[in-house]
Amino acid sequence: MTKAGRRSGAQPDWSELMRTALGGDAAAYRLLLSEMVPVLRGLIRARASGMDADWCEDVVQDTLMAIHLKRGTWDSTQPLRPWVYAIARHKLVDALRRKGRRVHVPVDDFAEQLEATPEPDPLESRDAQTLIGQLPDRDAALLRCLAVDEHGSEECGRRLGLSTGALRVALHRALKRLAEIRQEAGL
Amino acid sequence: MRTEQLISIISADDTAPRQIGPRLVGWGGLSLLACGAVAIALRGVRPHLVQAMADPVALMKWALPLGVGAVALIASLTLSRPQTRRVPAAWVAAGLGLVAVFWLVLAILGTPPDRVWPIMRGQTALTCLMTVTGISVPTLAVVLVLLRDGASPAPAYSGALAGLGVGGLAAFIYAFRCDQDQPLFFLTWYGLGMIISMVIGGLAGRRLLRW
Repeated sequence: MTKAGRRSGAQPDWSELMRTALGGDAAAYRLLLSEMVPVLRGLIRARASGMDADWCEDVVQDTLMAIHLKRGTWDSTQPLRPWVYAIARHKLVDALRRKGRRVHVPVDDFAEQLEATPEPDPLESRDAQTLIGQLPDRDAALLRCLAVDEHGSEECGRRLGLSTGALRVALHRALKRLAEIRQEAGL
Repeated sequence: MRTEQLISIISADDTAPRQIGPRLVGWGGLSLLACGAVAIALRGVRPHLVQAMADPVALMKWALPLGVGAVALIASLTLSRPQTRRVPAAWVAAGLGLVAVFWLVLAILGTPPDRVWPIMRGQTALTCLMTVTGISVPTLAVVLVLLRDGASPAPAYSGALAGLGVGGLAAFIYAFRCDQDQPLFFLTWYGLGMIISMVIGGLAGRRLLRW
């Protein structure tokens, strides 16, 4: 069996997961994003040689934010992976450029590093808390509440006195703002 | 914040993503109609409209900008997806542009040298440029705001294509007002008006369409 064959056999189909997620299945979405993390980590670390692991983790988080906010640009009749790799590549190139590094990141074989063994331990990204602190207080409180695994959005809504609809609007707006702040801060 | 926490936050956001294409057609079209209506209301419709549209040469005042505008907008939509590598519609727009340039060169060569500039300048060159730009810019702003939901691999290029597209449609509308039917005139000034819109779009896109 080829390596490619084993790989596709071992991993659930991302496109299918994303279609389910776009249909409103939050659990499928969460699973999909979690599945992506080690792959993105491996890719980005392999391509950003010389940058430390914290820095790479920030790029992974930038990529996840972009995947979320830009998921409407995925054509659901197409496979998801090339779309994900394109976003990861864009975020990596952008981050390297902000570091003043002109590194050539090839388009064609960008994703040919899947074998790169990702380290299992999740890292602290240094600045994310500070960035959330730049959001309006209520948005920051909402994100901090949701960041704790056990708190569902119902509980966070209750704590902050937000109805389901108001929470939905506030959360979406807060994530968009956070993405902008991350971009400006140039981690 | 750990990446797992970020995933907790992100997966709680169930606001459905919205497609760009339909909103672009809807809001962009509405804005273009409004700006076009204002321009025509202020300046009026050209004389001999029906006769002009029956004349194959004068008809190109509508057909060329409309063609370039439509394919450039399609190209800017294609380029709103991050994995886009080739934009065939942009080549079609470039091809039409080349045809226009070729035609302009032929028109210049076919005109006595001392008549080229007077005919090219016509009576309304400045009005043409200002009206095309005036119709185009508000709609271009609408289109760029909508394209911000996209993820262009080349923001400046995306913005330029949007500018060219909206500029083409603006020139198409202006053709209902403009009574200068000489190719020397309209190829030059319509083309320049569309190029101005393209440059504005490219400059704005470089900032606005970053993500």
